[in-house]
Amino acid sequence: MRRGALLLALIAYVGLANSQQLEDALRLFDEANGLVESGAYAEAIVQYHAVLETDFASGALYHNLASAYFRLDEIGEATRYYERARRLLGDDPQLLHNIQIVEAQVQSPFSVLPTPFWQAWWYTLFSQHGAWWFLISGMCLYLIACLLYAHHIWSQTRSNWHRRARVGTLGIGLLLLLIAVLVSGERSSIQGAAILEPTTLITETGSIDVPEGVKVSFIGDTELGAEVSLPNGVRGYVDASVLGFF
Amino acid sequence: MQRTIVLIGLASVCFVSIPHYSFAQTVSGLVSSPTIGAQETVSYTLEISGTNASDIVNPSPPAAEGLTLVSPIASRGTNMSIVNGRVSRSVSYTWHYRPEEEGSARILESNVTIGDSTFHTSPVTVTVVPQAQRPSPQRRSLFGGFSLFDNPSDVPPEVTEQDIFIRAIQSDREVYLNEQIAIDYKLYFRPGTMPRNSRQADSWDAEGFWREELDLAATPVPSLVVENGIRYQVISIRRIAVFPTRAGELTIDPLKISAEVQSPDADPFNSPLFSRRYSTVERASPVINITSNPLPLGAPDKFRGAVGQYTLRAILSRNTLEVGEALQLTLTIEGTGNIALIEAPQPEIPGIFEVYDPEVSISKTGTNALIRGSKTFTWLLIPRSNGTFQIPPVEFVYFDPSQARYIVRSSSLNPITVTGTAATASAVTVTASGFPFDDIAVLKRDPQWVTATHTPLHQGTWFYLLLLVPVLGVGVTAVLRRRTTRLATDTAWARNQRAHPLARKHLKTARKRLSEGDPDPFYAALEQSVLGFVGNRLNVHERGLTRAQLADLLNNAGIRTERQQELIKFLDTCDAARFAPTPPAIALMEKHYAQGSRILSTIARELESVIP
Repeated sequence: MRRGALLLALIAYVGLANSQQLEDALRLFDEANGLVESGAYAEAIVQYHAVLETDFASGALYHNLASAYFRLDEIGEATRYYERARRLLGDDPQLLHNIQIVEAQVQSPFSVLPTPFWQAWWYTLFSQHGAWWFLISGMCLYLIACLLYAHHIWSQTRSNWHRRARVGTLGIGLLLLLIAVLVSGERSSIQGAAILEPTTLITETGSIDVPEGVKVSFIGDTELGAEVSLPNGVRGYVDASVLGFF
Repeated sequence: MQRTIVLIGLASVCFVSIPHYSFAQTVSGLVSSPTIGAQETVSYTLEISGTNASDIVNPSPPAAEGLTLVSPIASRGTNMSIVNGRVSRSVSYTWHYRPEEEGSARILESNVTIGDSTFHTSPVTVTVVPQAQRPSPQRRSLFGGFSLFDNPSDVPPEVTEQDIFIRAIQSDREVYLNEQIAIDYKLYFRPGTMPRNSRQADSWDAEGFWREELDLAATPVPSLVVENGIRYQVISIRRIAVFPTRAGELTIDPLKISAEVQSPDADPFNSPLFSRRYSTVERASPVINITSNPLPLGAPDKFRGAVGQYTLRAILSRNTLEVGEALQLTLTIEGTGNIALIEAPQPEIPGIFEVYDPEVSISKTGTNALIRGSKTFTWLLIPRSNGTFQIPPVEFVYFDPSQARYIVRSSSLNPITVTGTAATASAVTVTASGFPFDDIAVLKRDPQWVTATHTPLHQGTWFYLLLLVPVLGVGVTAVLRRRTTRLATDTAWARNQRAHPLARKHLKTARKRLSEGDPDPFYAALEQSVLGFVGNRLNVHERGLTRAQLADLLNNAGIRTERQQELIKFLDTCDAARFAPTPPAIALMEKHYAQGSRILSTIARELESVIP
């Protein structure tokens, strides 16, 4: 009895602390939005970063932070945070509109390789539904499959439909759980970066000037610097400090 | 008569138009040649300009070291010239000296008194060489090649480094990073050399510097200077401003030119009657070394690298306008420094304004000693809603090397009053989705929070627990199902499994009856508890079991005799108490309850070792 009360008190404390943090985050977010509206973009950026320090984030937060950077002509940072927002907001029309405006300002001299169809599918899949959607759906089917197996064991049912339902729900459930894991890993993995300031890409055959705001694929850290791939597929090395990961 | 009038008129014009005299008095001592043979003489001319001969007290010949004055009486000459309307007059006194020995000789300073003032010349050094090594003889040819001298060779006279050379005159040797340095490359040549067709002979570079060319006069007028007793004409051949782009010791390459020149002594009269023989010479300026110091620490946040002296001016094209109309914000930075590289200050324009990239214009002049000019940034602003807005003062930070500190220039702006409504203005500038046509849609309001520090599913323990729990449930189901099946099919196993629970159940019933003080059901439950347990464990039906059968069963099961007897005796006691005419006391019943419990646990322990 006493243990139960202690557990309940602990849960209540954690819940209250969490809700207090959430309130703080919301207050800072609203203040930062007000600063953006009054044109104090530099102060708004500081405020948005303060929200991120509360361990809460949101697509709208990243979106607004990117907009503030855009107003200060920091195209690289704007690209970075719009892409972060894209991970949470998917194909949000306002976000896509803003990304178009930013890309028009970048004036990238590089052609863009066509995206392989599986990557396009994959991107569409996880931009439509987040990891939680796949997790909950997969877990429900997985539970149903386990219940069906338990029922089969208990009642010794030998029906073909029962077997198909068991195998089907288990297979689809596990597949959805696998997708949930991949989508979740996608959000936390570093695959892309924006060039935060004009730099030079060192390749094996020479060097290429890369303007601010160009999106590159991050391959890994090497002794020569950060190895990246340009939108046209050319690989080379840049100073890691000019990369804004998203 | 008419002719006389014309002559008088011309004379008047000449007289009237004779401009003012140049009264800048200069005194210089010149030698005929800086190098002479041991058997030659050198003439020393004291030239006094900018004064009348009557004002000059006749000068004495200057003393000399290693030279002997030939005659103390000077040959005197006067000269008057008019250049660009300015009259210059000069008087010269010339003495001749004979060398005493080979080596270096000096003509010491000469003192000249003009009116109340006394002027001094600088000492002049003359090199005396053996007669055979004297400089090439001076030759003049008259009338198309006829030589006055016996030497018929056609070798042109030698032009030495003393006759023509380049000097680089720099404004400073040690500067701060990005501070301006002006370099003036001057060509010194003796009047007779007459350089022509000069051109840059080699590439010239100033690595580590930003360079700006300064203007040169379209038609340069040589100035006259006297260096070491030799008269030179000087013109600027290149003027540049350089700005070090990195700190450290930096070097600027020599400027090399080639030119066609005459020997300075070839034709002192520059007469077309004498033949002109040109030879090509190359000359290079010295290497310039410059120390570039880094800027001091503690630069304000808004400092973007500008070095020099600047002013800032901020202007709004209008202060009252309608929503959707445009106004211009113009920032002008003016001053001395590297104007081209100045970055635009960032005015904090309220978000209500649509802001377009600034137009930048640069105006530079390099006619003075340094590059100066202005850089103008013009932003186009379009308000998207009404109200009164204040753009905070615009600040521009630069480093002033003359004061060695950072200077912040600030310029305030008047408030902007915007009238009208936003709807009509924005209607034509939004897309079909309602977003600005050529601008971002700034804010999203609904946060939809997630955790900022995202842990992927495959790294969370709870994810694996969620996967494991249903599998465990299936496993438990399988175990329960198997147990249920065995309970239904294996009677002995089922009774054995039920022995303990049933015994506990009967004991509990007995305890209840004991508390109610009801002896008959108490003893029935107590007996059932013990006897039922033995029956279940040995898989026999306990009802109708005689004491002898019970003893045999226990014996077969390996229970010790004393235990058997104790059990049978207890059962008999229970029967006796149950059917006794007077009910037993509560205390006795409690004693029997305790005894029954103990026997039950003892029998259970002994049977456990036999029947697991």
